[in-house]
Amino acid sequence: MLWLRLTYIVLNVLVALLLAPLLHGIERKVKAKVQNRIGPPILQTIYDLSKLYRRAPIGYSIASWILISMSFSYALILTLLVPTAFNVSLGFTSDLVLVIYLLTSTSVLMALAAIAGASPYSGVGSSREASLVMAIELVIAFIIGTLAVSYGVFTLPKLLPIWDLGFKPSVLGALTLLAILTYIEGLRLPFDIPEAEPEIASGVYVDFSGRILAAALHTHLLRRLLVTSLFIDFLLPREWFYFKLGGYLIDLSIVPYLIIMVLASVIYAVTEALFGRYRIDAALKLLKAMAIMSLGVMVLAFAGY
Amino acid sequence: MRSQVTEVAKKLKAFGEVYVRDGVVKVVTDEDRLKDLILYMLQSLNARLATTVGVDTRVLTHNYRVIHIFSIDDLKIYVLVELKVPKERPAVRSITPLIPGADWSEREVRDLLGIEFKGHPTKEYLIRRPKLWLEHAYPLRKDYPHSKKVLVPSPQYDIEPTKGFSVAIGPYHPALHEPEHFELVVDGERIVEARYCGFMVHRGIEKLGESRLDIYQVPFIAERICGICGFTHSVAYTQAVESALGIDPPERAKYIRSILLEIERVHSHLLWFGVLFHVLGFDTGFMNVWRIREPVMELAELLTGNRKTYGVNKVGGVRRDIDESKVKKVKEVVNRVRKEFTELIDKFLNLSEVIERTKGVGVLEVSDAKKLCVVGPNARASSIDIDTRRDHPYAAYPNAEFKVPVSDGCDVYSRALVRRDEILESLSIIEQLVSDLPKTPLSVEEVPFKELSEGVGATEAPRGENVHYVITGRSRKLFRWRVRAPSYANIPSLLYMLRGQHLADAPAIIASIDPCFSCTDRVLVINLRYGTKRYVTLRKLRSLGE
Repeated sequence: MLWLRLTYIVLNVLVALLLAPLLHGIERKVKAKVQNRIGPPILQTIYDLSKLYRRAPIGYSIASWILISMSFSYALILTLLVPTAFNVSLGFTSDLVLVIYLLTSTSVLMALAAIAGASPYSGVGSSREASLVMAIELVIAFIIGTLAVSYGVFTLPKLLPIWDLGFKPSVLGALTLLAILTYIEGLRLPFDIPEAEPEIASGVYVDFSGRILAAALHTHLLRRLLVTSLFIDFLLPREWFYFKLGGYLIDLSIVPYLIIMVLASVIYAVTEALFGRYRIDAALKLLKAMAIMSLGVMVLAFAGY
Repeated sequence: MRSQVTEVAKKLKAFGEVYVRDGVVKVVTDEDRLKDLILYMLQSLNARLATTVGVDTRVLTHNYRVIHIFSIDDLKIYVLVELKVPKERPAVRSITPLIPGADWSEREVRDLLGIEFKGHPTKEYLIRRPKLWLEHAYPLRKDYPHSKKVLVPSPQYDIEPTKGFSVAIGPYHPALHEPEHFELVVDGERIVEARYCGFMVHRGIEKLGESRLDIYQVPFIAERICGICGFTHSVAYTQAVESALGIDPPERAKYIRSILLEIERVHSHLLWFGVLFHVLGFDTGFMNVWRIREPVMELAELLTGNRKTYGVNKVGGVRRDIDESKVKKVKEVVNRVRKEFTELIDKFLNLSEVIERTKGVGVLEVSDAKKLCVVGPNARASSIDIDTRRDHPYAAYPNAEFKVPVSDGCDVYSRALVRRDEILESLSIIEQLVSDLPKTPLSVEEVPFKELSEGVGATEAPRGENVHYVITGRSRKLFRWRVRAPSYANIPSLLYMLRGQHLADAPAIIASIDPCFSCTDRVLVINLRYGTKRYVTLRKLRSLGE
């Protein structure tokens, strides 16, 4: 049933594009409640993005335009690979390498686009983003490596969900680290160091405007969504939510997926409200510790546990 | 104490003519004896420079005067060191080599009155001036009309570029709420060198006070010097004039002044905590502290009719009374704020990110703090035990019991601790004073006027010692009015705090002294005759906001 599969894939991309800013809106609202504020409407981020997409950028460099477009398209490709609302993926043999590559590249391209601007703030933001991403992606690579080694597969669809493959101590460790990483990868407080508004005036984003800014922000939100989705994919038994309707297989796993995503956003928002911003050295120290732990987990996987 | 002052006055006679009046000792000396006098005061009297004033007295005595105002906290007196400067080629010996804290005020006298300071280490202008500044335009000279244009507006300022990769904080930056410019030369994330370029907003307040307004009108403009602690400026001004005219305001007026000053301190410190948490990225702290602050603002509105404590002070007393119902409300708010503040603040200050990003950050060594003559919580966090409320008692403070919190951490965290304790002390002072309001009139019936009489008025503003110096003129006007806001003394210390620190910590360090740039920016009259004029109508403004 190719057309159904294609419909799910298109829906997946559309849902991801809309859900990413919507979840951000929910996070903003929850954070406001924790801080005794009224906060913006839940749809505010969508309003912001739709306004920015309609505005022409001002004083931009062609380099940053190209790099941001690339970064955005990479994020879109990721939505084809990582199942979000529906359990479909354009996955192929050894596609996990591509997932890691694309996750890293979206951030690296963003850092490059920022450095293409003239502002020293974006320069500092860019260097911070690059160092953070390197540290984070290293941990992600170790975690995915652990899963690949444990089950002997390097293809994402074959790993989903992990329930079917049986748990091992190394896998449990890797998933715990991934759960923490979904928060850090989103560069939420205390890790929003590359944009640190009071310090470097929004850092990486300071030189972007109009459509470029919209694309940059949207990429950032998509990455947040995708990393959390990846974690949910490993654990959510989607087959339970398949229904047969007149010979067609209808995938209703979007319902638990949405519930979990909203719950995760609430947890993220409450956590974020409790933190101040780390200095880059403190953040790197923490990520170093996580990298060492994830390496340990991978060694465990190699040893067969 | 009085005998000690007499003794000091006797000793000071070796350096020139000495005049003693309540709380103020004046020494008229000359350049040859200046160095010895300063050294004597620094070493034997533990003197601290408050500010330097330049006065154009050519119409009176055919010369200029330069007055260095020193505070001798141990003896609770101010010492004015006056030098006469010839009107042809005005120049006088600089004291900056002896007291680095005199740097700014001497340069200001040079820029605005044209008096040279021999031996001053810096040739750079203090007051930011556009390229087309008129040659020999000294706006604080008496022959310079307050309405005369001194400059042609031009976007080019004489800020020289620094070498290395520099990150500018300001003139517009989310961590600064007013236009100032910090240039930080960085190596990676570390600050190697810092430069400050301020004095961009020219308001002409001192000149207005000396020209267009009379002594009764000046309090209205004095309280507009600062957007946060305006009341402390109007108190300092009225005290300076009252001291010059020999007026003692009634006790009830003094109590009301003290109560409002402390309300101002509480809301200013709470605002500061909010700003600190915000620049650290901890917005939950920011929002909650500002929530606690709100009843204090409402209290200010109840007592003065305005969230800003405007229009209460006048020379010789105050305009508004505090009646029994207001006393009750004050007590309620004080209790509520104390309860909510103590519940939350320690939790916030014990958060690991807050501690990590404030402890050992922005250290101002005790020796540097002394050298630069810093004041207020900035000084007290570097274990310098000074507080104008105790050292130069004014208003109703002699009748209240309070401690002066001091900390020896010298860092941003200590500044936070000092302010935390100060809020609690202030709440206690308010409570003591409202319960004990004396029943006297609100102001003196008649204000006598003396020509050419000088006075010093000082208050402990939330940011530190605030000094006003006045010389009365003719027909109920001022001849000279000099304002030294606390941030003026504190900002130079930032450069010491910033060197070697992380770029990420710069906003917290800058915020830690609670800089108030509008109090600091100086005196010029800008008349925009050239360039296109465009008025934005209210309608246009509204349409922009839609």
